[in-house]
Amino acid sequence: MKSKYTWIPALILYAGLSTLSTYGQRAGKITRGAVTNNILISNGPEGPIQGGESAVTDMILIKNGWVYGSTRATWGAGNCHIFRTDGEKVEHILNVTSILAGQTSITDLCIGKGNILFACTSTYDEILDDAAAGYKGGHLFSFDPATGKHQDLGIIASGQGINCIAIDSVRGKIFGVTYPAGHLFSFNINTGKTQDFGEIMTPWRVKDLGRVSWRGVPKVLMLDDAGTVYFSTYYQKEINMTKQEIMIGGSSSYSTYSGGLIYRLASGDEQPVFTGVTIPTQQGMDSDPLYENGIASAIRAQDGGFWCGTINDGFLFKFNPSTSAVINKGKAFQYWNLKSLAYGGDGKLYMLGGRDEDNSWIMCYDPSVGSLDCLGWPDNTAQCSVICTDAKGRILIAENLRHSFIWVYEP
Amino acid sequence: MKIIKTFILISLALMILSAEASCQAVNINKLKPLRLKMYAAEGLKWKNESAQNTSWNKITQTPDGRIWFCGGDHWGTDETVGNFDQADKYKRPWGFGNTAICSFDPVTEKVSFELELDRASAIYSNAETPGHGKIHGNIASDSRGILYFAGYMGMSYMHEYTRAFYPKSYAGGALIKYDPATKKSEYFGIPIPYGATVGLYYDEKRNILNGISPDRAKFWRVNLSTMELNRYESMARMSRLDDRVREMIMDKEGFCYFANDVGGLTKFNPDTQGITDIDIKLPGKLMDFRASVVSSKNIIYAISTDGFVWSFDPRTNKMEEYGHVIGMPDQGHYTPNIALDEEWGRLYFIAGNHGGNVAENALEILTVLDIRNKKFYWAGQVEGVEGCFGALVTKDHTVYFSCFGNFIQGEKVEKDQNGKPITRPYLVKYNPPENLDSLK
Repeated sequence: MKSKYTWIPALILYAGLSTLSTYGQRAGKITRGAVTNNILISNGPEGPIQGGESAVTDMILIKNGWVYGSTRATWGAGNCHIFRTDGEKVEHILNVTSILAGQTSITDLCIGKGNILFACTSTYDEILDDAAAGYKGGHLFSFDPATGKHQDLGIIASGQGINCIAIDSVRGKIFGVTYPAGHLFSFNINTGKTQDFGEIMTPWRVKDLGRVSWRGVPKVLMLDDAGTVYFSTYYQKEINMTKQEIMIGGSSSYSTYSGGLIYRLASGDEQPVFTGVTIPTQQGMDSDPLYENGIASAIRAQDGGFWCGTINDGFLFKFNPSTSAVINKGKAFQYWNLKSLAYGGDGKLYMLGGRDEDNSWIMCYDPSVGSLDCLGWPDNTAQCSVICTDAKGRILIAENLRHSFIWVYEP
Repeated sequence: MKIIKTFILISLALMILSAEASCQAVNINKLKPLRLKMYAAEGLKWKNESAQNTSWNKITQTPDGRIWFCGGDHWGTDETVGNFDQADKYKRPWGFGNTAICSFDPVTEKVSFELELDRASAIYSNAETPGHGKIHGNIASDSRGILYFAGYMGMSYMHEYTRAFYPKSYAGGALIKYDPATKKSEYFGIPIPYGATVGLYYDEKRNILNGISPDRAKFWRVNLSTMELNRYESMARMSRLDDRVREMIMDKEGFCYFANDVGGLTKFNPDTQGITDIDIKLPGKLMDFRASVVSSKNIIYAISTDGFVWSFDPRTNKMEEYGHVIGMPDQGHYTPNIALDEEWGRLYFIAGNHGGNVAENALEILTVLDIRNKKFYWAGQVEGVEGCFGALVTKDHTVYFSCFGNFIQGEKVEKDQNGKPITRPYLVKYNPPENLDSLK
């Protein structure tokens, strides 16, 4: 039976359609799954996380269900912070610069015994490059999410920042790499003693578009159950020129870099040694001075070994320490820098790739069938640096911008 | 007692005035059609026919009185617009996207073709490297009448975000300097490889070009004395918009402003390179700006992407709101143009343009805002215009708009071989009345 009010829904539909936006000429973004939330980390001029203080450097899911994140200051801002998120909101936890003066960047986070966070700090490259700036050096510090207590573990090397760390909870040691000097060190949590294993990457200073940085310094340390530390680095060698190349009064050799060499330092050893394997590389490009050849990201594989992403080519590869084997799985995009890895709740390995100039590409690898997939990017203007799984198995994708967002991706 | 009474009366009067200002809304039914004089851009002919169909740029006036605008063909890797097919892209020299810079002489009312962007920037556009199918930023000029502009690709919007993507890689927004007196152009290179240029401002005091890219809204600047290029972070991102990053502001002192992710303005100091967030909230839902103009007293006037007009005084950090461009604050109304007449105390807009969220029944409304009384006047609905992205006022109070719209021969809208209306880029002229009440 027809109702006399059937015109009402039609009228509502018409009214709704007539106010619909005619906007939307671009497409793109994530093609499968969904970005269900985006959360601003920056609090704006009122703080506590002000503009320029929300570029995310790392994130870790801990057992209380929160993801803890660290930031660095960008473009002259002064403070770096620890925050936490559950994928619904962001809470400010600690202004690290207020307790460790002169530190503008938390460069790496690790989880230790008892759910204690360990972190390392550094500062702007411009300050590291200027001896007169008086930078005292990067700190190691710990933070207990349960009590909110933090402890300064001290400066590791005078005038040097710390690029990355790995923690050996069994032996109570933190391993790290200084920046830009590129020294491998260990710190004994129980005794507070530091051991310097020497230079593992000769500082390779680059000044590009007015901004200085150092290439090749290991960004990632991998640690196995035996307490052996692995990293990739360069080997500099002198090549003799051919007769035709030598000019009167000129040099008779030139130096070249061979990058992506995986080294290891076994527990108790005094010096790292070459494992005999190199990361997957487009041959012929490994010594190109514009080509930073190293490991951008690593995560323990659920089926043994480490999943790693390369800097320049963006290859995904498996490194198996016990056999010193490298298995290249290829790449799911045509860009560079596979910079962050995380397992999703669906068991797939999710990947974040692309330089800051590129889109922030989200990809995944399904270990059950060995398939790589490119899923797109979270937003057209997103510039992301880190991904992490939250307690619900979602992928949190964090930015490294002046006012950074976290994008929540549901596989 | 008398003082209190006077105070109450003044307060009431102010309340009524501001209420009147905020309650203004356009009455669509009373709007009259407006046919304005339109001057078509010249150049870019192929097979004896203009390949031009678009313009998305801001315009400028040089000290000799000439107004500078342009027309692009919008040809890109994906599409060829107009009476042409894909094969024409291969046959036409400098084929895949090109833009012609033109000047308009207000005295003779004549348009002159000046130069092509692809040729000036030595881009051999082809299937792998599309050329500059339009200018999507400012045509800037200095006190000597020297022009500065940069390119933007034609179609292929996705390409803004995928950057280098073999085999289709737009080389990037090339920077060009052009001296109309000698007709010599100088090519300064591409500040963001594979990225286009949108906002572009010349800081004459420091001899620096400031600009932003649409992909990730990177701010950059080139010192033309030293040719140093500095790239900064994505300061101009306006995250409440889906993806649209088109604008930045430079004030009279060379300070640059960007709408930021927390709804305020981020300020760049050109001397210290310091970046600070100003503690204000911009109006509207989108809290941004899509067009701006700076007065001789260094007051910034702007309109947001959803149609809210505001001003900002950098000396006091004070912001003033003027209301919504058509008085419908719940309705986004894309208006990427603004012109200031300081002497008459007015802002001009053509409100409701192609390219954004609009009230479909209120397109292309010529709007005047009396700044002193915060009162809007709607002069009429401009016929034949589809998009307007640049505007300026000359000393004799004439208003010029940079538009694209229907190609009309006689009274007939011309159509292409597929039956689609052909569009052309135009400079559109409006002679406003001195007395705005005549618009009622």
